[in-house]
Amino acid sequence: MKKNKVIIKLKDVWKTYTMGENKVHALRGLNLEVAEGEFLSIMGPSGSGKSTAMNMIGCLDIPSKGSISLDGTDIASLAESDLAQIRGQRIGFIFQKFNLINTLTAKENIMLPMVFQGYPENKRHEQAERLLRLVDLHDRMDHRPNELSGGQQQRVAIARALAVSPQVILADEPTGNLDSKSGGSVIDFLKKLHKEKGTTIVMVTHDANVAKHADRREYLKDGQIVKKL
Amino acid sequence: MMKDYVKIAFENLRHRKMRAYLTMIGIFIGITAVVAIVSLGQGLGVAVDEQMATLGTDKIFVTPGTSLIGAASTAANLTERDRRIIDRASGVEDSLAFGFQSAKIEFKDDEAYVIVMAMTLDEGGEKLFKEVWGETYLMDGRLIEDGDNSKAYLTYDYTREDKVFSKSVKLYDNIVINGHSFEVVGFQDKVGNSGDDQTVYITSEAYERIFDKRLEDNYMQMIVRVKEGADMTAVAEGVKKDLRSDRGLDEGDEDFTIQTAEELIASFNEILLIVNVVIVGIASISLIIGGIGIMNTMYTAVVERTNEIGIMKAIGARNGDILFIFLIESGMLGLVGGIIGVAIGLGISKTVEIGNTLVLGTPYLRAWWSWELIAAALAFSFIVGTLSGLAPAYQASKAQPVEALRYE
Repeated sequence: MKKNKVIIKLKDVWKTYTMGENKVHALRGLNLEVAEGEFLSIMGPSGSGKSTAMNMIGCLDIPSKGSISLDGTDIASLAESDLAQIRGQRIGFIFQKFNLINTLTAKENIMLPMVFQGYPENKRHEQAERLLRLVDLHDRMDHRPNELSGGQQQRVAIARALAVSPQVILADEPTGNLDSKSGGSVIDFLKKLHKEKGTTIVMVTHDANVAKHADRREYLKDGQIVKKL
Repeated sequence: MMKDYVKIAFENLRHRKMRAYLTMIGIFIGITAVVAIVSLGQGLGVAVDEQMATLGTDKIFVTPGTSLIGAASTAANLTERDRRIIDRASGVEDSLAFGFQSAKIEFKDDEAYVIVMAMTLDEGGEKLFKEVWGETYLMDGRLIEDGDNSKAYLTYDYTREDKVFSKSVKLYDNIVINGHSFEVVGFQDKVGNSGDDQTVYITSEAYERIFDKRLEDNYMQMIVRVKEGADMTAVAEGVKKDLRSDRGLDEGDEDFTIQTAEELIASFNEILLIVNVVIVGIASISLIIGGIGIMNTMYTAVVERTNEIGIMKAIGARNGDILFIFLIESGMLGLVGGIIGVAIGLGISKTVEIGNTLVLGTPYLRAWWSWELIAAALAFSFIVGTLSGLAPAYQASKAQPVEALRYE
C-alpha cells in the first residue's frame, strides 16, 4: 500500500487541567500521525484522554505543551478566530449526541457550516440537498431534529460534517447513542465514505466491535498511545 | 449571511414565543406611549397651525379678560368704542369683531339649538370676514354682507340630512331663528368639527333684533389686521397702550388680552413641548425597564444555549458570528416590541381622534403620523434591544468551544 502524506501530526502533546490545587494530565506526551485517506480508530477506556485528543485534533482546544500540525499548519499557536476558520473549512465533526441545532430543520442544519464559510445561497441549497440524498433523508429535509429518530439525526449530522468537503472527519463515539442497527448503518456509511471518496476519518470509540471497521487502531491509556489495552 | 442569522435568531425567538412576548412588553409599552403622545401632540400642532393659516399671521387677537380661554366669563367688556380706538392705532389696517350666543332655530317641522354668530360687517369688517371665512370655505351661494338683516349664512352640516335637521337646507330656503325668519344665502364648506360646521352667521343688526341686545357692547373677540410691512409686536404694543390709556389702566392691570398670531402659536407650542418632554421622559423609564428585561432574557438564552454555541463554534462559527447572532436576536426583541408599540400607539391616537370628534366635536385632537415618526420609533426600539443584548452576546461569543460542548 502506497504511503500517503501525513496530514495530522501530534508531537509530544500534553494537556493539563488545573482542578483546584491538583493538576490533572489528560494527555501525557501523545504522539500520533494520521495519513491522508486513512480510517483510524482510537480506542480507550473512559478517562484515557481520547476525547481530549479528539478536541486537539479538531482544533477545539489547544495543547498545554507540544505541537499539533494539520496539513502543515501548526495549530498550537493559533488564536480562537483562526482555529474557528480551520474547523469550519477543514474538519467535519460527528458527535455522540448528534449535536444538531434543535430550532433548525435538517436542511438548515446542514447548511449552517456553509453559512459560516460564506457560501452563496444557491450553492448551499444545492449542496445540502445533494448530501440529504446521500444520507437517504431527502424526504426529511424540512423536519426538525426532534421529529427524527436517533439514527436519522446522526445521518443529518454526518451530512453536516460533509457540508464544506472537509479534509478530515472526526467522529466521537458516533454510535454511542444509537441502537445496534442504526449504529451499524452509521458505521457502514462511514466505511463507504472512506472507500469511495477517500475521506480521512478519525473515530474515537470504546467499543471494539465498532473500532474493528477502521484501517488502523490505536489504543490510548492514561494520555499516551499504548501497544494494547 | 445576514439573512441566515436573522432566520436563526427568529427561529430561536419563535421557539420561546411566550418568553419573547413577555420580554417585549416593556419595550412596547414605552413605544406605545411615545408614539401615541407624539402623534396626538403633533396632530394638535398641525390643527393649530392650520387654524392659524386660515386666519393668517398678520393678525392680532384681542379678547376681553386676561386670557383667551376666559373670554366668555369675563366681567370687562370689549365694545365698539374699543374697536374704534384699535382701528385708529398705528399700523392697524382694519378689524373684525364678533360675538355669539346659542339660539333656537327651526326649519320645516324641526328645531335645534345651535351657536349663532354675528359679525361687524362694516367696510373693514366685511373685508376681513371675506378673507378669513370666505375664500377658504365658501361652498355655495355667498357670504352675508352689511345690510343683510334677514339673511343667514349657514354651514356644512345644514346641507346634510339628519345632521342638524332631518331634511337638508337648500339655498334661499327660510329658517327661523328665535322666532325671526331668515333667508339662507350661502353655505360654508366642511371644516371637520360639529362646532364650526353647525354655526349660523348673521349680521350684527340681526343679532340685536333676535337677542334684544347690542353686539357693539359686548364683543367676544376681535381680529385685527396689521398693515403690510408693519412690525407685529410694535403694533400689538401700540394697541395695548391705546386701550390702556382709554380705560385709565396701569401697565400690567389690563382687563383684556392681546396676542399676535405668532405669540399664540409660540405659547401653544411651548406648552406642547413641555407635555411631550414629560411624557416621553416617563415612557423612557419603561424603555429602560424593557431593555433590562431583554438583557435578562438574553443572559438566560445564552446559558440555555451554551451547548448550541459550542456546536456552532465546532462547525466553524467565529466569535463575531456568535456575537452577531445574539445581537440580532436581542435587536429583534426590541424591534418587534417596537412594531407592536407603534401599531398600538397609532391605534390609540386614532381612537382618541375618533372619540373626540364624536363626543366633543373639536378639530384639535387628531392622529398625526409620518414615516419619520415610525422609523424613529422602530430604530430606537431596535437600538434599545441591541444595546441590551450587547453584554450577553459578548459573553456568548467568548465561550470556550470545548466547555460549551460539554455543557448539558
